[in-house]
Amino acid sequence: MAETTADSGAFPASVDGAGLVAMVEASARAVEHNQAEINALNVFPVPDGDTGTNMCLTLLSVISSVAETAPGASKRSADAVAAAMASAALLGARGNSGLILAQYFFGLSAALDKHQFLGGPEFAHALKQASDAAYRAVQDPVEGTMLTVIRCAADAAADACRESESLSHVLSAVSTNAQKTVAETPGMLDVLAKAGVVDAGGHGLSVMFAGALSYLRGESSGAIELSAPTPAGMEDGTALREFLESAREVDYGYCTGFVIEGDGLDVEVIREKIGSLGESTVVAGDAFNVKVHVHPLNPGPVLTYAAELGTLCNVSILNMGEQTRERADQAALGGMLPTGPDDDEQFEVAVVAVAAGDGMRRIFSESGMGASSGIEGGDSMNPSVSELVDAVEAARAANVVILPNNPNVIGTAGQVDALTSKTVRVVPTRTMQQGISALLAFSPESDLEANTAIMADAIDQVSSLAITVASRHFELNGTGVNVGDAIALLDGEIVAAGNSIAEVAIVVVADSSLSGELVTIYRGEGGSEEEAARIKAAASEAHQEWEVEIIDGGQPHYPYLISIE
Amino acid sequence: MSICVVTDSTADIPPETREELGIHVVPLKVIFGDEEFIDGVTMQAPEFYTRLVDDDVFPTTSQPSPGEFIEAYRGLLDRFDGIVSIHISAELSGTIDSATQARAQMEDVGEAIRIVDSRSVGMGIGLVVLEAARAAQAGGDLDSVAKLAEDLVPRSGLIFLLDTLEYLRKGGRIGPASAFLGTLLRFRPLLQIDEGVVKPLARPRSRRKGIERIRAHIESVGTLHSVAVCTADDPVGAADLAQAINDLVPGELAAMSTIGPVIGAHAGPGVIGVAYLTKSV
Repeated sequence: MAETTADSGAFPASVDGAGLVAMVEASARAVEHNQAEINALNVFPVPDGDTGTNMCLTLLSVISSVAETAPGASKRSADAVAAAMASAALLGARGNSGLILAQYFFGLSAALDKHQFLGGPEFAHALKQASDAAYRAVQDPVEGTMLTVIRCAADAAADACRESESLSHVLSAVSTNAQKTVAETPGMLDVLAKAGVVDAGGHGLSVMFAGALSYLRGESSGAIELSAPTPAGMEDGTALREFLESAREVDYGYCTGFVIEGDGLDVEVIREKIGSLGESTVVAGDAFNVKVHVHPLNPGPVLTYAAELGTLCNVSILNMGEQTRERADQAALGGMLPTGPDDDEQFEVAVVAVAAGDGMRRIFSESGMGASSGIEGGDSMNPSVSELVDAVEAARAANVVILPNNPNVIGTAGQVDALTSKTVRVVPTRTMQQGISALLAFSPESDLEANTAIMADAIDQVSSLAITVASRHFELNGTGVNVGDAIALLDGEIVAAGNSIAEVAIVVVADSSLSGELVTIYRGEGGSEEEAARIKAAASEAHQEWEVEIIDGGQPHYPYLISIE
Repeated sequence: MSICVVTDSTADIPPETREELGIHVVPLKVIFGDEEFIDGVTMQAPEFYTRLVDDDVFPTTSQPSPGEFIEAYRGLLDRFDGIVSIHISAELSGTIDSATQARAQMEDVGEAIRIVDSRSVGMGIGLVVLEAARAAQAGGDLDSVAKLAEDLVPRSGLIFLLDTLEYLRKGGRIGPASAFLGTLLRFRPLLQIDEGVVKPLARPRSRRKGIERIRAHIESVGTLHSVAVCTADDPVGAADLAQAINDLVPGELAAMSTIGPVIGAHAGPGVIGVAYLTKSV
């Protein structure tokens, strides 16, 4: 167990070399644990989605290097450990963020020179050194990035030292401050505001501090979850998806990184030169080892220049255009943060639902706790038997429930059980609204019979209202309804007709005899946001206790599908 | 042989009951930024929930240190012959860890201390603690009180309705309940504590449906021994819930229990729930 000195708060006031290693390990665990989210936030300087991975790999190379070069006894002293970490970080730095992170370790080693223990004052000094070194290393420093976070953290640490010199106290102040700064980054860097995210590298640093603090407080091994804040109004990820789409067109060049091993290397001169050959230049090191990171449109001249100065090691060249396009593809499929279950995971029961419209299909695919899929029923909401069988075979369970969501499909769905070795039941939903209600009652870990029963019960919990346009002439309550007139169907029966879609919808939802608590308006083709808002307002006015929500369903034929629960 | 029952502040035992039954509570801490509070001592539920909603900073929590347990145990062993220490699930907090480390450092008297993992939280621990404390007051010895607590653990259940999963997610305790994340539809998360962790139970669309679902669950668990309704800061919701399950409850419903700051930091405001002990088979 690392040696620590406790202060009156029972959290360590300082750590020795072994304790420092443990703290960095905790930070590494934290970054690894949050790696996916940090990757997902990455939009600056290049949205290739690898900030989390790069920081993680950089930290892992620090840890494994220390394990090899600082055995047993020498681990007691913080300065030896910090020096080994700084050197490992520089050589092992991955990407832009990795090299800036290496400056953090440089700062630690500078502050801990001739020190056995890392306490509050040493940590504050380290952050100041790290901040200065990081700003120096970046050719064109920009606010709203890791640089800002580490600079503000250094200030917060200095302030905290005035209250208490305990490492725990100072790290706690730093952690809180970092989270605050991260939340403010969209206000400092336009591209972040546009994409609707906070800075990825900044958040990564924040996660590192939080992980180390959690370990120091004895709360965890560091594998904490720290969600990045989302700028207001950006929660659904649309801004980020759109940003990534627009990024397809940009030529970002090649992410080029290497170490120059030589003698008498002049870091400043190298930085100036490399800066003229590409964007996002970060250069750091000393006379013998200089780590270079740059984004040239053509890596040739960079390599030719550097190879003249010494030997090139750890050379890495990545086509960032490829990475960015791949990421935009993934984002377009929906689900920005990869928090879903493994592809191999099997459940007790899965659900296959028939849907029409992108939004509706997404709802059925993403609201079943990983065990549901929505298949496109097309305009007529009428897939073939073989399409249903395929979907059942692809489902992640041996027992499958089908939600037909259309009276015409109930019979077809009933044929599937005989055509597959899986066990299939049909819950006879006649509308997508009923299907959604059934899906919310679904539990992938319960057995097939229990699920079938509870999902069937859910059908009665919802009223389905459909607003569309009459396709044939008929009589309603003694009045003629013409082709093209707007009509409303409640649970399959025509209850109102009129000239406009909105008018007919409003007449039905405003009816005081209609009871419920939660109304959802699914907007489809032919519907508009403005109209949906008017329908919502009419419903809310007539029924004060109702909660009304609008969702983009994208369904064909029905400008509005409404559920009343 | 005199026995003292010890627990921690996550057990949500009302102060009067604590006094009446001589239960000793070791508190956890709630931290807002760099302000640290002692659960139930320097921070109580009402001001906590106000601050939770108003403050920008998400609170975090931390377990008692081994040192705090040593101090508590030593003090009690001056007056009692033995201690049964019943705590929040080890999957949700390092409290049991601290208690265990404390006992290990008290080699001379370690035998007199039994530590029981309730595998639960809130009144899920509380109901077990109450039974154990009654047994201790009635003159039970260390072995019998400890065994009673251990036997009660698998018969303890807790089910609760949240406003949002955000607090659970941010605090890192969401566990298997993370299956509910990613649902594109509006619902009230209905969760249960099972096998020491938070598990998903159902996704009712509204609070009213949630209360119906809770009732259905309570109906299905078997004969009940005792029940407690609990809430964070929603006495009206708790009253609705109590009324909905009233006919299922044996005898008197245990007093309304307040979900304290430590659980509150992880569950959020607006929570209502039910803890229960089933009768032995």
